[in-house]
Parts: sequence; structure tokens; C-alpha cells
Amino acid sequence: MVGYVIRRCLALVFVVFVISVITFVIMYSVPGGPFEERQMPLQGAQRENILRKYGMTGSIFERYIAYVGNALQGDFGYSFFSPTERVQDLIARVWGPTLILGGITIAISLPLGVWLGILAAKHKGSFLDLIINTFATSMTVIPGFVIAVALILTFSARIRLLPSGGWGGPEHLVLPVIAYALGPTATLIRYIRGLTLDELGLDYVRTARAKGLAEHLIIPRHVFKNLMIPLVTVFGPTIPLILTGSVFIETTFRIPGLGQYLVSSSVNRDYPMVMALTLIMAVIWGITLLVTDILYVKLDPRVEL
Amino acid sequence: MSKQKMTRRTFLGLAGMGVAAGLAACAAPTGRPSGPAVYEGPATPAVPTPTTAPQANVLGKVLPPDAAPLDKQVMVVFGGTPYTLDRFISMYQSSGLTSPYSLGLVRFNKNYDLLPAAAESWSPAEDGKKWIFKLRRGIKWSDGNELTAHDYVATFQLGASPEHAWDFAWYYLNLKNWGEATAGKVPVSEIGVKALDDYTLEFEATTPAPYLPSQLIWSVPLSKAALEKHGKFYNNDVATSVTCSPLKLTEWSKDKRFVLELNEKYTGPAEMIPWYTKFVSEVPAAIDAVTAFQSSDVLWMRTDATTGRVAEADPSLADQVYWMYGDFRTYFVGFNFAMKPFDDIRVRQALSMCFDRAPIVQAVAGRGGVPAYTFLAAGFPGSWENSPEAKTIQPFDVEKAKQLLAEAGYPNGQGFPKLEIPVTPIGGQTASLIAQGFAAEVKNQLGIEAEVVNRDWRVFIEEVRTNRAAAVWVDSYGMDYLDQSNMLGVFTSNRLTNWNNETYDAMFNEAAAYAGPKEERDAKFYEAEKMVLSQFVICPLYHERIPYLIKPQVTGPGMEPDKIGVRGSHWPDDYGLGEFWFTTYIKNM
Repeated sequence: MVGYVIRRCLALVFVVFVISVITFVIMYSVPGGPFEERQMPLQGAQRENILRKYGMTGSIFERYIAYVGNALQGDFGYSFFSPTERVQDLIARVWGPTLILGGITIAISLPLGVWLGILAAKHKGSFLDLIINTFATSMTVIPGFVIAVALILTFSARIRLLPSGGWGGPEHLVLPVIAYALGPTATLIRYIRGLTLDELGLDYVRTARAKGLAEHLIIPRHVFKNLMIPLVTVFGPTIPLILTGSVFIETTFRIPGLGQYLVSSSVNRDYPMVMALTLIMAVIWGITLLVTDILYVKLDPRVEL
Repeated sequence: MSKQKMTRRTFLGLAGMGVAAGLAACAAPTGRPSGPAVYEGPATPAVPTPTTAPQANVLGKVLPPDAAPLDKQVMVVFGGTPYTLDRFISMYQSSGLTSPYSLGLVRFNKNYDLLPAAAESWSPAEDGKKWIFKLRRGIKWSDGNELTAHDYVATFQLGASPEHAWDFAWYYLNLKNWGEATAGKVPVSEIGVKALDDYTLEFEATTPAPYLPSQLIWSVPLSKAALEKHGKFYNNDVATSVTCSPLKLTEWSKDKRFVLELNEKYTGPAEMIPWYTKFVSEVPAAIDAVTAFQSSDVLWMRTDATTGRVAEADPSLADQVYWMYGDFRTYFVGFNFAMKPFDDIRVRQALSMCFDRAPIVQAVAGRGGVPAYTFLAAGFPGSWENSPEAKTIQPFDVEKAKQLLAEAGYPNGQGFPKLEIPVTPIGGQTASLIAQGFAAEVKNQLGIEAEVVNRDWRVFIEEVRTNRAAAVWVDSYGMDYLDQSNMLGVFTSNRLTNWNNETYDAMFNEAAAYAGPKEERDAKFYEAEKMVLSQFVICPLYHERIPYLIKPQVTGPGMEPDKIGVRGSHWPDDYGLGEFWFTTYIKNM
């Protein structure tokens, strides 16, 4: 196991290197630069001054070498659009709200989705099943930002119970967490319901019942274990997405998080931010997939790495 | 049609429903839910507390009788939190309610009269190449230093510094040695901005510049002492921020908000003191920001034309939508003079004359656009947009357009290359749709295949303006300062278009430098603009109007109509401590 983890970590380093090269080349190949202003195109000395100030002179190879050299020393440069702070400081500042929002969302959607999915399966065909299914289907097909706007109109504009956005107290978390959690919860409900129904029809459940095991103990003692591997498969990849923020949720609710930078950095050609965010995403995905693989082994001894 | 008699029971039932609905409607504005409220927005409508005695803020400005209490005089706007609020640090990235820490030399009122701010007076010298500005005495920075000419000189020298690489450096290229200084060829001390003494500033341009006082709307200085002590970002920290404006920084939370409160040490012009006690600039929601406005979380916000039209159609918002000039931006079709067949004036004429602006602009933009027949919009100095002549230069005349196209060798569009028309993204949906209207007319009337392509802003700039790779495009320009020399200067050689015409350059330079009577100067610019239009350098499409949403509790002289009847905030109120902000207040509702 230890050898496997070390091999995967080394592979991850290689993957990050390849991604950094690809991103760097693509970034500088896209038409339009970060300092093309809407009034007058920068020309002559003014243009040269800005390019020099932000280290955009020299060949792409020279710029990449300089970037990697600085990055290995922990210096990811300055954001072009927030040049008073280094990229790593900016990311550290804005990641906090994203992690809080994402963490609470995971903490709510994971148990709620599993519980409601199992509940719907246990009461298959009942009115409760219909309600849960309708809810899950609706929340799957309605885009998150539509839900977000509906929540703001209802709870902020109409009854003024909660703020329409911003970041500060717990009241600022309620609407974004609801809007953010509904999608993953709905996905989990539908998935877990289907899996549970499959499991409930298998021989080992019939055996458990035949042996007289109480109905309310069958799922937690026997079925739940078998749900874990597909659960990890489905929910694992959701975690990096949630932890790196949703641009829709963050911009709709004015949350000073990382998600908005994922889009604005690309649109604004903020190269240092694009590079740092891409590398962070690569590392998080790599770690998530590694942890997921390790969990497979822990959950099912038949799996070998 | 049968008439149904209303019974007493039906009447009472309906009346009861009506009363209930009325009560509900009356209850709504208070913002009080029936259940326990756990949150009160920062700018809920003011509680109607009658004022019994005149209230004065810390700077002694007495509130009008109908004003809400002092603690409710909080203006919350969607202005964002740019990384700097100092225009000389960055012009293009300091969007929002900027330049709140100091006083420029001049300012505009809502009628666009140029008024003194920190300057007391100004006068030209040496045939208009030099301008002497006398500063008011006794204006103090919050650190106790006096605002002097040396602050302005230090600020302009920073702007010209190659190391600073100011993104707006091109704006002052007309100043003596400015270009040379930004290129590092001469020291910044050589630029044409000198302190003759503590209270006298001298600006020297390379040519006579009667427009220079207006150009100096962007002359908001940094504190020389603070620059030397804390560096150029000293205003990003409450602890080191220094102000000589009526406002001071009290909170700076990047990506959340910044807060400005009245500066009790203010010693500048009394007429620039606001009634507000606090300004809060929140980060706007990128998606559906109007919901925050509806929630009263902000009282003032700028939006786009599409949203403005939607808001106008909403009875609860219709009376809170104000359409403003913005920066007098004009959208136009541009032609590439280096590409055939657009070097042929008959082709440009044909394309321009097949487009019937008025119905398309009206249908697409509503109040968000005014059909353009000239480049300078009505209300801009020297504009002749509303004159009868304006519509005669590029008239809508399909038959003539077809004839000209045939004469140019393309009867019914045969053999004409397919047009791919990039459109500037800053005009949003409105510009894109009007561009599509233009393309449709070109196709339907002239038989030329034309397609509009939406471009990312930076791709558009590179393709259209830098590389000159597009044949025909839709672009726009809005003013940087209020003078024809700014707007019409974009048609001089190798600037916004590649129509390089020495005659026009000479006409423009003569008009820009003319220091005689205004009427004569306007006449010279009229001839220059007429040349642009009659040479079909561009085909003007529409003049943009920007919608603002302003809550009804915002009132005062600033909300009264200007001299041509336009109400609300005026350029450059988005960007500075303009008249709107110190002539409005929050009234009791």
C-alpha cells in the first residue's frame, strides 16, 4: 500500500508538470492579452512598460522557466488584477469562504442525500417515495442559479428574512448553502434509491429476513456496506468541485470565494492566477482520486491496488 | 355577453379580499415578515421617524427637513472593491466609486459646467500651451499636511514613470515630455507639470490645449508625503490611508466591501460636503444583481440595457429606472481601409445607406439607445445630432445604396466577399442585436452575405484594433473628457480606425488647438466630424443610454432634471466624488 501511494504521488508530480506546460502554452496562445483596454489599445512605451512590469517580455520558454523557478520557491507571482497581493496570498484569502461553504454543503448533502435515498427505496411506490423522487428530479433538472435567484426573491426581496448576499455572519450562509446543496443531494437521492432497491432484491437480504433480522436493521447492518463503494465512486469526484467553489453560487450571493476567480482569471487573461488555480485543481483531483482508490480497498477487501 | 348580478355576499367577499390584499401591499414596504426576522439589511428603507429639528452632520451640513435621521444617511451601492481606488494607480481597474480620497483640480456639475474643485482659478498662458492653476489654500490632508501643488506634481510624475507603468499613461501624451518620460528617455521631472510655488501649478502641453482644464477631470492627486512614507498603495489600508476629501476610508475588505465615512478633518470646498454620513460599496452580484436592489441591500446600481428594460416592465421597479448618458458612447460600424473593396467609398456608402437605424434601434434598445446619425451624441459639446442636417449625410436610401454597389462592381451583391462582422462585447445584447439588424439589412437589401460574430473583449481588441484583421466591425467609443478633441481625436491617423487622412488630421489639430471663441471652435470641429461622416469612415448606429436603478428614498437636488431634462447621476459620478453624491440624501419614507 505504501509503495502504491508513493508511486501515485510521483505520478501526480509528473501530471502536474505536464499540465503546467500545457496550460502555459495554451494561455499564451489564446488571442488577446491581459492589458487590452477598452478605450485605446496600449501602444509604444506604455505597452512595453506594462509588459515589463508583469514579466511578460522574453520568449515563452524563458517565461516558463522563470515561472517554474519562482514557483518552486513558493512564489507564484502577482495577480495582474490584484497586484497588491501575491497569488498564493490571494488564493489563501478567498479559499476560506469557499471551503466553509463547500464543507457545510458536503456535511449536509451527503447524509441527507443518503438518508432520503434509502427512505425512498424502503417506501418504494408510496406517497413519500413520490415526494422524494419528485423533489430529487426537480432539483436535478433546475439549474442552481435559478434556485439561487428564486431563494433571494423569496427570502430577501419579499419577506426580508435573510440577506440577498454578502459574507459575514451565519445568516449569509443559509441561502447559498441551500442553493448549493440541493443539486448534490438530489443526485445522491436518485443514485442511492436505485442502488438500495437493487440491493434489497438480492439473496443476502432475503436470507437476513429469513433468519428473522428486524427490517429496520437490514439496511444499516447489511445493505449500507454494499452501498459504500458506489457512493464513493459517485460522491468522491463531487468533492473537488465543491471545494473549489461554484462560480454561479459565489457570484449570485456575492461570496468572496475562489469560484469566481476560476472564471474571471481566464476571461481577464490573469496568467499567474490561471496557472496557480489550474495546478491547485490538478493536485486536488489527484489526491481525491488517490483517496478514492484507497477507500475502495478499505471498503472491499477483494479490491487490490 | 351576459351580465352577472353581483350579490351582497359576493361583494363582501371580494371587498374582504381587496382589503386583505391592500393590507398585504401596505405591509410589504416595511419589510417586516410575519415571523421573527433574524436579519435586517444594511440599507432597508428608512424608518419614518419625523425630524423635529434641523440635523447637521459632523461637517456642519444641515439636512433638509424631509431627510431621514443622520444614522440612516447611508448610501449603499454596487461599486465593487477594485484593488485600488486611486486613478493614478490604475485607471481601468479602479472601477466603482473611485477617487474618494482627494480632490481633483476641477469637477463637473450635472449640466456639465466645469467647476473648480481644489483649484481656485485657472488661466491660459503662452498661446494656450501653458495653463496656470491656482489652488485653494488651507485644504488639509488627514495627516495634517496641506494639499499643495507638489502633491499634484508628484502624482503626475508617478503617472509618467516607466516603472509604475500606468495603464492610462496615453491620456496625457499631449503634455510636454510625457511620452519621452514614459519611454524612459527623459526623467519624469521634465514633464510639463510644474509647481511654480506651493499653490500654483503649471501645465504645459505640446500644442495649444484649450481643452486642458476639462482634460484635468482626471487629476485626482495622491499625497506626496504618504507616497514617500508608505508607497503608492497607502490607501489600501485604513491605517495608512490619507484623505483630503470629505470622506475617509474606514473599512477595506477585498472582494466584500469598502466603507467610507465623513472625514471630520475636511477643510475643502463646503459645496462638496455630502449629506450622507457613510458610503458602502458592495461587490455586485454577477448574476441577477437586481434581486439585491429589490431586497434594498443597495440603493443605487448601474446595470445593462437589457436588465433596464426588464426592470422598466416591472411595475414595482419602473419608476426607479433612470436612463443616463453614460460616457456619451456611440456605437458604429467601422470599415477597414486597407482591405478591398472597403477602400471604395461607394461600397461604404452602400453599406451605410441600406441601414434604417431608427426602427431597429428603437425596437432593440428602447430607451437604451438613440439612433445615431453623427458621432457626437446630443448633449455633448458641439453636437449637431439633433439638427436637420444630421440625417442627410448618411440617409436611409436603399435604391441609392444598390446603385452605388452596382457602380462599385457588385450588382445585387454579386461577387462581394462574405462579411464576418465582429461586435464589441461591451455593448452586451443590445449592441449584438443591433449589429445583427445591420447585417440583416445588408443581406436583405444589398444581397451581401453578412454574419455577426460575438467576440471576447480582448480577442476583439486584438483582431479589430491592433491587428486590423476585420473588414467590417461594430465598435464603440465613449469620452474620457468632455471635449470634441477627445471623441473626434479617435479618427486621427492610426488610432481607432485605419483611415489615415492628413487633411482630417490637420483639421482636427487646428480645431483642437483653437483658443478663440467657442462657437468658432465648434464650427471647426463640425467640419471635421462632417468629413468623417461624409467620407463614410464609420456608419454611426446608436448612442448608448445607461440604465441606473435608484431607490425612491434617494432624493435631493442631484435627482432633479438637468438642463435637458435628464435625471439621476451623471458621468463621472460612477467614478468619482461627483455632484450626485453630495447633492442627494435619503428621505423619510
